[in-house]
Amino acid sequence: MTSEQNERIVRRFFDEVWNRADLTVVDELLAPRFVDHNPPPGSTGGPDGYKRSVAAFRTSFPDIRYTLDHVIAEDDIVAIRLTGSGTHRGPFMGVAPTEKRMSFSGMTFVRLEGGQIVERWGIADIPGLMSHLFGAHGDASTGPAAAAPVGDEVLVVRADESRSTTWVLGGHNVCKATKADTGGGFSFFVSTFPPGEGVPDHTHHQEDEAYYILDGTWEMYDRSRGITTTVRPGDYVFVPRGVLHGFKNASAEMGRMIVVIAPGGLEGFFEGIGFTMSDVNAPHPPMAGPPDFERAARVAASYNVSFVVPGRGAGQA
Amino acid sequence: MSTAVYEHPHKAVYRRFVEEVINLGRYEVIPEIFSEAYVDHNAPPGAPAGGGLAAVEAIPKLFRGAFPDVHFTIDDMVVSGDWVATRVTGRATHLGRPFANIDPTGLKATWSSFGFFRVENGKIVEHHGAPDIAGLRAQLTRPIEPGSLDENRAIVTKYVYATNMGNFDAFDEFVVEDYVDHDPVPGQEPGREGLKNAYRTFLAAFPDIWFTFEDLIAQGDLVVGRGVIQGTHKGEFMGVPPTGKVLHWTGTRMFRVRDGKVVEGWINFDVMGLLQQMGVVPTPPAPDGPVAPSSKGLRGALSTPSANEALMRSFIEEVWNQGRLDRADEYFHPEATSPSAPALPPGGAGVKVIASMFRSAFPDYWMTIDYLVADDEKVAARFSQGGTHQGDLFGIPPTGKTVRFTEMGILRIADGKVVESWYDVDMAGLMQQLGVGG
Repeated sequence: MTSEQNERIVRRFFDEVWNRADLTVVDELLAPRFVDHNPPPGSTGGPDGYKRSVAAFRTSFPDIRYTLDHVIAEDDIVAIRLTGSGTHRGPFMGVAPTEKRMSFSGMTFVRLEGGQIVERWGIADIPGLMSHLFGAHGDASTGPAAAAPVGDEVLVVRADESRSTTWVLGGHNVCKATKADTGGGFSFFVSTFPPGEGVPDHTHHQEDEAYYILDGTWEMYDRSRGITTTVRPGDYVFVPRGVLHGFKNASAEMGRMIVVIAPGGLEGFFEGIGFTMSDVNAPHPPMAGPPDFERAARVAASYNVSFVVPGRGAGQA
Repeated sequence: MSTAVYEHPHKAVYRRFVEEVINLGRYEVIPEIFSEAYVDHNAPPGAPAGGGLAAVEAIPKLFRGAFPDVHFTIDDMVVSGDWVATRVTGRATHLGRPFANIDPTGLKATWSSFGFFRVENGKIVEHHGAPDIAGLRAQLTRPIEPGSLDENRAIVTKYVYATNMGNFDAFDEFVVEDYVDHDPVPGQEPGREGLKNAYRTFLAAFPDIWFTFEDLIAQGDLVVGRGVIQGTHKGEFMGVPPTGKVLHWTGTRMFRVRDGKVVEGWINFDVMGLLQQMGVVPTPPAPDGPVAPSSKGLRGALSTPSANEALMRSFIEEVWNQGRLDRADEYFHPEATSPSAPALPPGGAGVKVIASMFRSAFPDYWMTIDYLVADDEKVAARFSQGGTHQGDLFGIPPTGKTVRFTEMGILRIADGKVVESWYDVDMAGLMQQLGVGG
């Protein structure tokens, strides 16, 4: 078989098996000894396992359709870049039907012998698909879908209780829920900043952040768009991951706000760059002196957070 | 490694990316491989926006930061027109920074990655990628069996990571109270409290000190970790006033782990390199001859822990104790290099240079293996060695003194031969006993 013939076989396979739902073609074009090196979860292997996987996928997405964006054939190998699309009308990986139109990308390598596919390697962007179905963006395995179940009872963290209390860059953070408490879903803080204090410009590359203002008047900086917004008690602010942002308590009183960061885990970052306090209500950090922005930036890098170090970048808070 | 067989130029340029940029961390060659107009159609979250060469560098750096030993093997490449489609397998150990919000645990992972690259004028201009990040994440978060080697690796990795983060509570969590330190700093009190105070001494001298493991080998209840230490010299250290310089030095540590805690510790680190960087000990001149290319990319079949142990034991006995220097060629691959001594010639020739140097300085030279830790790829040992100083050593004339000093060494073995090796020798202890410096 030439590489052109192999390419035609692979195009026919996707068209008839996936787009026309003709499973008999599987027996014709997959060799009995077919091996899938990256099988979908629960696959029993071989051509029969492949047929069962196609049928299961079609139950979730009855109008599933693959577009072959790019096919490269050389010798006995065919490489395919593809896009799958369909409507979510049946349960999929534990998600009830959402009726959403979805699409996902994938790449597949197959090896042919004597006009039949004998091996497959491939990956589909299932995390991207899952997050699409959940309406979240980013990696679903860190989002609500994959947050591990945590206990089976209502949990109360009292006013004077904290899971981790830190002083970071002039602010005091009482962590009411850590990554461990929420199965990775989110971290929840109540943060207090003295007048004039804030957090310098930084970017979370992996987390979204929401603020709800309790006390004080604050300046919120969206450096990605060059916008400063004044916010007051009752106002809600959302900072998507990837946006360069900072804030400052612009009032003459203590400022207080709720901070929710998802997925969870940045309490470890606060512990790394700040001072961990044993007393929830400790009024002052244990050491005076200017915040160590260099150290903060270094620890931040390990949490995939980037700071604009004062004196090195423009627009610090 | 590249072969002399003809390879399509599109495949050759992709191979350079994998073998030089990803596997060796040679980011400086990126402009030779990627066009300035490069566009990544599947840039991961956190990658610099807008593509270009900065984006090319960011992703391998992110991987190497989390996985200092990341290594890709090319499984398949196919070409048509301007495009090359690629299938690779990544192998790595999570020893460095957090990856995708997962803290390091010392676990090993293997994952697939697929790509379509467009090549124009010999450079990559466009790329669609599909790495199996979900599969990688699943391996990094898998449950660790209590009492397993993986658990010992995880304890050591988490302990060192937490101390890097300045978390002193980690000592109580990961170290027993009656901890035994076999290489205490001068004046270090016994036990865990003594260890904490010793660490405070380092923190006072290097407030941002950070130990990055590049290798972790576990066997029985021992774990050996080889790494690089970085810190800014802001306080007095070994009597040297702060220089404000950012210093890098190597260190190899060994830990004995029992019931989930570290009970004993050993360390050899490059004190001489540190003193050289502080400018208090002269830096030896750079070698004038060509330096052999790194053998980091040399790979081959893995072996068994017992075979690797046997290799280390007979190598030390024959070459170092019996002085049969010609045997070094049997044990070392001809292209093997050592990052600890890059100026030495590659292969057995380099071993002969260093062994004959010590054996002529100490005619009654002896070496013992006090501890040995092996896995299927590497064998680490803690050595004691010594002799009577009767010949010239690094220009120091014979003193007639009898010395004894320790060392930690690691051999990486592929196809039954040593392909790479690392050494941290207690040179400061040796020099002190010879009555020079220290």
